Amino acid sequence: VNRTVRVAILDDHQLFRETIATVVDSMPGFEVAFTVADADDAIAAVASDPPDLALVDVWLHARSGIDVVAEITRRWPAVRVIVVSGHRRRAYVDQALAAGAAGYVLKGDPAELAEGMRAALAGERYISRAARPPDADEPAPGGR
Amino acid sequence: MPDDADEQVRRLASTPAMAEHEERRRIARLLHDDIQQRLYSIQMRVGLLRDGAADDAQAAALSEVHDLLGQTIDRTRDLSVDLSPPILERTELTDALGWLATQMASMHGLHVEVVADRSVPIADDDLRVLLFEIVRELLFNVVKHAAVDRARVELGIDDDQLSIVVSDEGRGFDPAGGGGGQTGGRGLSSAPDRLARVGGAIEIRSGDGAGTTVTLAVPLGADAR
Repeated sequence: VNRTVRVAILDDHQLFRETIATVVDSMPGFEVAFTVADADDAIAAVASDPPDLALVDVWLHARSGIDVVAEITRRWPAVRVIVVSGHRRRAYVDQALAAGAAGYVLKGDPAELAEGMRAALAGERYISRAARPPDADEPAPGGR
Repeated sequence: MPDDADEQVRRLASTPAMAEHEERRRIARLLHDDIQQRLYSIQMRVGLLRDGAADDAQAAALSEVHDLLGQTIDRTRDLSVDLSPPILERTELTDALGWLATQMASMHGLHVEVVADRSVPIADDDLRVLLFEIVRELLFNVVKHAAVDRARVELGIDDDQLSIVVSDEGRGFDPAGGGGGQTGGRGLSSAPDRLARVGGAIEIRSGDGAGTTVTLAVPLGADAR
């Protein structure tokens, strides 16, 4: 019997966290495990209640979400992690994958997010179409 | 204490530039950290409605709204970067000017050649921002007034004196004529004063049909060593 996939949402913007939760709730077989806004809370929450899947923003307030990805994948290798970001720059994609992320999904399209989540759970790597080379770079460093 | 006095004068002179830069940075951060995230949220919710549309016509209409939101987000991202280029955080002025050249080409069709025979690190944030803003305004004025699609920015350092020469082979203007022209653009009317207060100067050579060459000269002090 397939059990429900539990999804953690790590993003520092409240409305966006709520929106991702709405997307997850709309997917049969998935449920929101918890949502958090900053890096320290994220690690503590994963430690106390490891989800099946974590959706992580590139930045969590002033701290790098990529560092959080690296810590989660190192300490809880069973947790699949997808970076959900507005940045198309290839450097961010490379950093996310190097940190152990199973996927890199651009913000904005729930269908792509669902596709990425299912791919990650199937053990596949998923990168949003617009973040794939060769034309993925934004005109300038993205900063935050 | 001449060094301290020089430093005080330099800081006072560049205060307007830094205040403007800080305000631009604040707005850029607001755009990215809040406005863009709200737009992404709306876009994703429209995407959900699109994916659950009752018929093809409704799906197509919602898809169009979804794409329009994507274009709006791209515009806010460009605006955010334009307001506060992250590359200005680096001390190397040629990096920032190289990025500026890329921006001028992609957004305004102006091909800018940046020439420097050595690196030009400027640790003083205020001075770096001031020079970047003036060069940017000069290039905007080439776009607006010179009727050419090429310009050149050449940097040189001689005896702790930095020179930046911005030139084009456009239609030029009469520097004595006043009113508008390539040095009358936004922010440039105050450039001579702001440069003078940091011990620098601006020289303009131009004439009808003769192109325009603007030379900025600034003492670098400790930055050049």
